[in-house]
Amino acid sequence: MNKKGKIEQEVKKTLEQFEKAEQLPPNPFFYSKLKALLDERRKQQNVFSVIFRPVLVISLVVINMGTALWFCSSGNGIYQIDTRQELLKILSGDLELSNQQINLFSNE
Amino acid sequence: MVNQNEEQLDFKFLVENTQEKVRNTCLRFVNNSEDADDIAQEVFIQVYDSLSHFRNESQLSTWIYRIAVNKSLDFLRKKKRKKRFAQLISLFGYEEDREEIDYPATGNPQNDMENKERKQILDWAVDELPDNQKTAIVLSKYEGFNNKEIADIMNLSLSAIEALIHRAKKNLHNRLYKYFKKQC
Repeated sequence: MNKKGKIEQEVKKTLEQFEKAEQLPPNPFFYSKLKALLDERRKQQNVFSVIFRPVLVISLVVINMGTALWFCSSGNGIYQIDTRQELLKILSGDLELSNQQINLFSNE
Repeated sequence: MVNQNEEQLDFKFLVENTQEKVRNTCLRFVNNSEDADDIAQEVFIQVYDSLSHFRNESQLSTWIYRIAVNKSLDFLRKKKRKKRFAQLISLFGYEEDREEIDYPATGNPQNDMENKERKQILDWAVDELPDNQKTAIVLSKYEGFNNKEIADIMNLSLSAIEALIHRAKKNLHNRLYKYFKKQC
C-alpha cells in the first residue's frame, strides 16, 4: 500500500471512533445532587431576602432622606433677587468690584 | 404547597428523562466525565430558573440541549483562557498540572490503547474546529441528532446545518490527514 493510502486508512480508522464513542454510565445520584444544590441556593436567596434586602431598602431611604435634608438646609444661601440693583449689590460683593465698576453696570 | 410539590415532581421527571443525553452531550465537548456532570447540573439549574419563561416556540428537550451546548462551549472558552493564563504563569517558572482524559476500557488492552490514542487524536481534531462546526458535528456524529433537530438546537436553517457538517467533515479529514502525514 502506498503512503497516501496508508494515511487515508489511518484517517478512516480515527473517524470510526465517532461510532465507538462510549456513553457515560447512569448517575443515580444526579437528581439528589441537583436538588441539594437547588435547596442550598434557595436558602442563600432566603438569607438575602430576609436580611440583606431590608438593610438595602433602609439604607436607600436613609440616604434619600439625608440628601433631601441637606438640599433643604443648603437652600439658606440662595438669594431671591427681584431688582437689577439687588443683583449688582450681590455681584459686587462676590466679585469685589469697586464703586466705579458698579457704576459702569448701573448706568447701562 | 401542593402546587410546589407538583412542580418538583414535574422537574424530577424532566431531569430523569433528559439527564443522560444532556450529560453525554456535555461530555462530547469537554471530554471529562466530572466536568460533564458539573455542567449538566448547571444546565438543569438554569432550566429550573427559566422554566417559567420557556415559550413553546421549540420543544422543551431542544431548548434544554441548546442550554447544554452553550454551557459546554462557555466552559471550553473559560478553560482556554485559564490555559493561556497558566502558560503565561509557567513562563515565570510555575508548572501547569496536566489533565489525563479517562475513557472506559472495552477489552483487549492493545486495542484499547490504540482506540484510546485514536479517540484522543479525534478529540484534538474536533476541538480545533470552529465552535459552530464542532457543535454540529458533535450533535450529529456522537449524539445521533438528525439535521432538523440540530437546526432547532442551534437555531439555524437546515441548509446552514448541512453546510456546517460538510465543512466540519472536510476540516476534520484535512487535519487528521496532516497529522498522520507527519507521523509516517
